[in-house]
Amino acid sequence: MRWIVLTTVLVVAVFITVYVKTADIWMATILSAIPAFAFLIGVGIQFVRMAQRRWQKVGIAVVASVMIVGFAAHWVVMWKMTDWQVARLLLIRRVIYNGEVMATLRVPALETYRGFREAVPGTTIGQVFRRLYPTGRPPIDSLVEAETGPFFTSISDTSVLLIEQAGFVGGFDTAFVNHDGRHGLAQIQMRLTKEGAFYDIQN
Amino acid sequence: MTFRTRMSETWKNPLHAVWIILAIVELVVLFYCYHRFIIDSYFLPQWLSWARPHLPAVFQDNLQSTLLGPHIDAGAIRVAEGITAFTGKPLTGAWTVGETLVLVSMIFSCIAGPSLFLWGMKARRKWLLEKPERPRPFAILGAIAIGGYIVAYTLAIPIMTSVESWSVWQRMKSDSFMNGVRDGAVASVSELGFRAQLLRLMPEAKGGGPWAKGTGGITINDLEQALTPLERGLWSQGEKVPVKYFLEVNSLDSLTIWGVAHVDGLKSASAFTNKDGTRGNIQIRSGVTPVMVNSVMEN
Repeated sequence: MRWIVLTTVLVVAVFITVYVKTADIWMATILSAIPAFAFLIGVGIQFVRMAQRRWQKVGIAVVASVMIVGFAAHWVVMWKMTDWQVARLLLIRRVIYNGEVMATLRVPALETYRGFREAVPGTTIGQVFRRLYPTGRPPIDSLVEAETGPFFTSISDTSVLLIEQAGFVGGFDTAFVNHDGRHGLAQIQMRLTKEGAFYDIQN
Repeated sequence: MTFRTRMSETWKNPLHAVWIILAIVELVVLFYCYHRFIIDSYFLPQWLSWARPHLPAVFQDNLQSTLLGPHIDAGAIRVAEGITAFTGKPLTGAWTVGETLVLVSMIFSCIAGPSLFLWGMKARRKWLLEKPERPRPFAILGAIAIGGYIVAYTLAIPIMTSVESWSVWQRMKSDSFMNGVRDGAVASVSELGFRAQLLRLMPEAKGGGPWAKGTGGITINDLEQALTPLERGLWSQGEKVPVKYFLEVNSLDSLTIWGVAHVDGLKSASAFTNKDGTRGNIQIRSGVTPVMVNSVMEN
């Protein structure tokens, strides 16, 4: 009985401490499972000791080992699989976001070059962009706008910089400092010059 | 006669009868395991819809918890966290009913259940040796039945389902790989369409102008040069499968771009020939005009 109480207290203490400190459900579950598995092995040994004949002892030992190893294997598969699923989910989110933003930035880029082509000689690309978008902010699809953070524009005579920063979608580098001072969010920049349009996937 | 005598002796001794009860329970567990789809898709929702209104509010959203599979509950919480992050909601990391259920589940499956079963088995042996002096052992019977059920449910089922879970995971990886390559091909072909539109608007001195055929006309190399390696890998969900591109000019205002990735497409090798002469691979076709890029998944 004292082993049951001791193991239960240990499992609860480890689980609560690790979860409160890390907020990581798998870390808490795995670390608290160490005493729980040790207890399970102890129970298995007790079953083996209970058996009276040698073949019974061997049989129980084999069955108990297979059960504990199988349980642990399923545990590891679930852990790795769900971690992979979450990583994949966030990667897909970033891919969707990047695709949306790049498709959105194509529209003002094409409009600007169309205007630049038709403008009188000597007109700069910055002047064309300002004429097309007096506020400095091209219209963004409402669906994309719901996911994007601040949009920055930097206009000079020789180039136009369009910087689209994500509202919540993470980028490649968590330490990356975004345009508005936050960290780790996806950010794409498009530079329009008379040589052409260039993407710069900053994070 | 011998059989009837033995059955009669078995029923007289409840501790022998427990094996019959356990066998029935295990059969139900096995049924649950192998016909989980039927139970999950019909019986479980029926039961949940009946039980939910009668329970306290905090438990109403956690009824699907297995209570006997801590790792299954922990996995469900991790996936729910991923979905929350996907939708842009902040992860609070606060302690919820879900975490409590993982903990309770761990105590049930790894400590309480096996201990109960062990106690039942030890008590059964003792009772069999001393039974004339002891009352009918319903506590022992209950301990073996409940403990045995928990041990079977938590420890035996994972042995059967761990192989299945592994193969499900491998299938997910394979499907995800193909989707990643296909999405990457669609996005990169669309991007090349945009590059073609842009080139058409650029001055001829910069290599632009109407899309002409033949010598001096637009080629796939002109467009591909504009794609950086990062852009190429950006849409493909990290899958590093190169996409081969082909371009045909239809008129001064129309061209077609194809993207072929050497990964199995929707149609089989016998049913589809790719632009590069290979068979059955992923292929995306994009019709491009100065104002529109229209991509179609051909295979």
